[in-house]
Amino acid sequence: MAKHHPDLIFCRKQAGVAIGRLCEKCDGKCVICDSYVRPCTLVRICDECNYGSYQGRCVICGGPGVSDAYYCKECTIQEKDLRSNISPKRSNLPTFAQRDGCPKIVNLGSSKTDLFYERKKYGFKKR
Amino acid sequence: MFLYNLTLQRATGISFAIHGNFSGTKQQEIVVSRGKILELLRPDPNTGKVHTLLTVEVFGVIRSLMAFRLTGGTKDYIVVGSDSGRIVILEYQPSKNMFEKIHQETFGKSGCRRIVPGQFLAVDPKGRAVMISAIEKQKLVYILNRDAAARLTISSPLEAHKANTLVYHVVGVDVGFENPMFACLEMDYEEADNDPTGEAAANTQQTLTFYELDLGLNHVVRKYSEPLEEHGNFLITVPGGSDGPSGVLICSENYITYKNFGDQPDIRCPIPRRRNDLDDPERGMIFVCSATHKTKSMFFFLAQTEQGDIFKITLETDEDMVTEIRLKYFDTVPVAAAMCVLKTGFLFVASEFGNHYLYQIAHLGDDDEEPEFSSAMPLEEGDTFFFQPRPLKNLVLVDELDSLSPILFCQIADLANEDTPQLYVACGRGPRSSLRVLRHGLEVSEMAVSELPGNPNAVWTVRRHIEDEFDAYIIVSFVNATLVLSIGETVEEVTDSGFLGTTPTLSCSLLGDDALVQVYPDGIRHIRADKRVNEWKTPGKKTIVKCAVNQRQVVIALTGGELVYFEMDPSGQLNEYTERKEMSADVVCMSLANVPPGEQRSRFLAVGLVDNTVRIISLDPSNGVLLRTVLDPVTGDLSDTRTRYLGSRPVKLFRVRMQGQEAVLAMSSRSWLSYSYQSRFHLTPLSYETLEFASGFASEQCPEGIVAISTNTLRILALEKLGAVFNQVAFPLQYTPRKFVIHPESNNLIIIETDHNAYTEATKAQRKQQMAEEMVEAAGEDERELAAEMAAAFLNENLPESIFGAPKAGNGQWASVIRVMNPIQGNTLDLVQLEQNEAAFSVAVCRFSNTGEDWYVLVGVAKDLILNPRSVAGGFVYTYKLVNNGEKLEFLHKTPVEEVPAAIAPFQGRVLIGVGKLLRVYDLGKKKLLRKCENKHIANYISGIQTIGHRVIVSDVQESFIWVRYKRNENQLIIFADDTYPRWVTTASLLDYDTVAGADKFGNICVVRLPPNTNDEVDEDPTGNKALWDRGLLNGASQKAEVIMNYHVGETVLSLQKTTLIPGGSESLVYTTLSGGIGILVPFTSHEDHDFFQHVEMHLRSEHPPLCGRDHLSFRSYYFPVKNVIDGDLCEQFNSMEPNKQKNVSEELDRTPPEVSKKLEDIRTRYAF
Repeated sequence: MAKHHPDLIFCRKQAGVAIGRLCEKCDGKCVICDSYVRPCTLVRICDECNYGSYQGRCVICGGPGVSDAYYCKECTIQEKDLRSNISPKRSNLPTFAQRDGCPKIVNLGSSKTDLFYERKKYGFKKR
Repeated sequence: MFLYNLTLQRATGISFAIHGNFSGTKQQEIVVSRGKILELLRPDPNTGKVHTLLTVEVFGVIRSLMAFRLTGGTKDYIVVGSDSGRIVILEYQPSKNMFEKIHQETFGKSGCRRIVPGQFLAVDPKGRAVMISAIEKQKLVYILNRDAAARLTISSPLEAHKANTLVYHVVGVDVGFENPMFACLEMDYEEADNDPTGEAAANTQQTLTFYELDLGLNHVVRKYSEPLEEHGNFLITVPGGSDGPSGVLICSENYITYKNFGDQPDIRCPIPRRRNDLDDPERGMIFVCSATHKTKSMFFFLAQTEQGDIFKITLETDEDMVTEIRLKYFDTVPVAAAMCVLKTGFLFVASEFGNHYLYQIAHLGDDDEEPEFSSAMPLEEGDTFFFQPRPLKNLVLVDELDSLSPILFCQIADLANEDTPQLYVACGRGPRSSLRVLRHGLEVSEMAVSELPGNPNAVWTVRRHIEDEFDAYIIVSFVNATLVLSIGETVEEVTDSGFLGTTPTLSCSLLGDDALVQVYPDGIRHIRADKRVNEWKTPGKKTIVKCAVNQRQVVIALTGGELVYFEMDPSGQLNEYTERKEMSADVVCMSLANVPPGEQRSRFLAVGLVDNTVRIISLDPSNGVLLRTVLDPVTGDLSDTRTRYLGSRPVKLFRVRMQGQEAVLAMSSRSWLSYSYQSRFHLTPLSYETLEFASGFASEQCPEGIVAISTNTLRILALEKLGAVFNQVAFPLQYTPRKFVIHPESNNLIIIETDHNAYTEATKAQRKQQMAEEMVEAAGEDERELAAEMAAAFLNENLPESIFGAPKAGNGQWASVIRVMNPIQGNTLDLVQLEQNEAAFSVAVCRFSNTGEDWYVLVGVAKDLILNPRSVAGGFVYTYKLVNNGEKLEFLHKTPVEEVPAAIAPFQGRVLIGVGKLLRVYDLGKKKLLRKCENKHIANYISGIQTIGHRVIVSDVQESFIWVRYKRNENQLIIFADDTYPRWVTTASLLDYDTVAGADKFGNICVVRLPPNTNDEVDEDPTGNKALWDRGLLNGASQKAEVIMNYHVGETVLSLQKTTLIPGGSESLVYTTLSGGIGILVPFTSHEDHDFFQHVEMHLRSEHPPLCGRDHLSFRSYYFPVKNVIDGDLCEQFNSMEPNKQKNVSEELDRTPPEVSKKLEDIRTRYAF
């Protein structure tokens, strides 16, 4: 989803052994590029993103997870699935190098709300 | 063009070696890494031989390797740090003989990067945690544990990062069962980076840092850090808990230091040096590798210096406080990359260069008169101890593993006139270098050879009782007699065995539990254990022509194609079956399978007839009918037929045992052994004389041998190096061989050998003399005589440099020789020693058009070359005339040039010489070579020159290939094309007029070709003006070559040659690598083949991913995307997959698993072996 919403921020901390999940709505999506084809590598998220009430939540939207999340083949070949420790504060820049680490979206609520008001502010008509 | 890559011989150099109980039994094994190959070795404690159990290519760079065992476990796991950005934990499965990936945790990007962990691995000695570290900044700690089902579990990684630090080494500190602790040699460069004056950089100190994993908090803390006085290069962990004082030993330049927490003062001991060493005295001494031996009551360390001397290090303790480090000279072995001490008392030394060794530790060096050095001995700062190196005293060599690493040059030619070409390989480094001649074949070790009175025609071995381990008799059959030999300590003739000696024998064997049977032309003789003899005579004038025997059954064929069947009944009687079987033609051969365990008889008999058919006859008497199946090999009814041409004579087959498995020895004009080794079927010729008849042989001295006859001798042979593709003969050389050329008339080799940091013989003798004089001068008046004696002894002392190493002369000191060698006998015909600091870099043998038939050898020599920062005083081209039928070099003249002449090639009756970045044509003159023409536009440094017609293809050291055309009329060298990629070319080979294959120093092979319109245009351009003035983009040539194929081998390739490897085979591109590997690239002949292998590769990539976690496609595309090459090494892993996976893959390909493996084998045998 972050591909189409540049203000979404990935967690990007060192991922652990916890497996990322997807909710019913997001089921089948690649967590990086939203592709529905060729799922390949299982998504691992960091322990903090899988802690307490976050456990089993959808990686993309935070909803209740129903299935395991995968990276698609293309993102795997480009190594967007691997994780290294890039400082989280820079990770919102939509560049290639930052697409590593835990892919859990950490600021979903605000971005959705912001979007609503942004639309209103600039007078976009509701479709 | 589509190519298929095959490895003929895997890399032989070892980068890491670890030991442990990987199979989970009491026996210790060694796991070695050979760059991209993981191999499991088992030293046999009884015979002292090292056997390879498993070799797996991992398609990634193995950067670190560690063994660990969970607390209370009995089985060791293998942790692999590689360039895959993943940590992989492997377990060896002895039942399936394979490594199983238990865990694969991703933590970073792939590739060998600065901040992606993988370079260093350290395990907690109690097996609770593992630290994986990068060269810079990042360190991750994984906690290992067991789940309820006793399976290994791994935690999420814990971070122990510190920015701006470099890591030199990491070890796990033995703290018993307290929180796991890791010690790192680190350097913080933050201040040095921010200080432009350079003052901080000069003062930066290395630190020893301890990281503690708090198991309670699940967190890693940087516990303690301390600056070090000397710069350390590695750490040795000291046993702790109940076994020792804990802490670490820091190995640094000239010193070894013990450090631990708390009140423990540092204990520091200088590293002893050789007495009267020729090395530069300013040069420091470091330890390069170590091994720890620990038993319940004691422990010690063996540490090796860079000269190869091993020291035994022991620690003296006083109530868990270390008071003293003691060092004792142990022995000297070649410098190792890794050492392992095994519980059975063996020391495995994986040499840095050349062959690897297994030594037995005969003495621990406790009670000899060798002086012991101690940290408690008072010494001035900067002073050190001295010792005298000596031949082996505590170690006994028991096995040697051949290693070609490093291969610096190779040429393939049939110089010995043997039909099959040989590989002439220049390998090794410094005094351990050699020229090896490789021939395809299995090395045979001869155990015994004895003359016989006549020419025998057959030989068998029999046991006396079915449960005997070893054979009892050897039966040799002559034209009219039979000789019986008994096997014991020696082999002697006996007459009381019960065998009939006055007749030839057709076959003999053990029958039932303890009886023997002898089949001879007139009958069958059944010898019972108590020497009672039953005889069966052939009816009438008929004689037995062929027979087949197993443990319970005998089938004979009489003249005329009649088969008679006998079977042994429970009482041990041999009974004839009344029903006989007439065959339609004469029987030429027949065979019975062994009786399956638990059954009375083998149910089928195979009979080969004159009419080219093989018939299978059922011997099952229960239904009373002879079932007959005719299998016609011509139409292919016999499934999975694989044909190989073995030789010019009819083939005889013999069943033998190899490594506990059945193998077949096939004899024609050459003997071949067909056996299965590491789940691959091998058919290898024996590098031995022609044999006529053979049989398996087992005795105490030789449990798996072969007894064979060859003309009138009886030979007992053993095959020890199963799995080896090449049989090698090595001839030692003095310095590192750089290149050689073959003189085409005499087939002699002209080799140039050059070493950096070395003395020539003359300088060495001079230095020695000087040191001896100093010794005498330094002595006082009364000691003068003693000193003179010592000096004389020093001058006479001559320790072999191949073990003790050559003295290191210092930077910018070069030594070089030019050698003429006969490659068949290996004798040196002529040797020219160059002066100190003259380094030979190139050699060519050529004729000049102005001197007629004489051959000349040109050697390009650099003078006073300093590598870094680079400077050179100039160069010379030495010209020698080859006289005495190519056996002697006659010095003509030397031509000074301004740079290093790194490449020489004959060209149209003159020579092309690459002098630095200048390409020149020289002709032979009376006083020196005469410069005729020059091109100054090559980018950096000419590393090689190839010529074809008027074209010259120059390889630049970092700018790939440049095509140059020589215009004879204008006398100009004109660049007309180049490549678009920057390749750091090491070697090149022409494939055709437009195409060149090259390899670069990063381990890639490429083929580039000029587009079809290029050559025409340039050849027609009469002036060459266009190419001369019409420069392309960024000073490149106006025309560009196209890339035909790209492939990453993974090891630096140093020679490429287009050649045929087997007589009647097709041409292939053969390459050799620095790590000692030999491989080929072969073209596909049909589109179907290519399509098939492409699919095999595709399926294997997904079904059988590489072991260390690196993606196969991305490994083969390391520097350039792989293009038009299919990896046969991956395809051949099909054979080692599990059967159900094999079935899945082959179903996808619409074939059966045997068909796929046959196809894999076919393409290999068509081009090579």
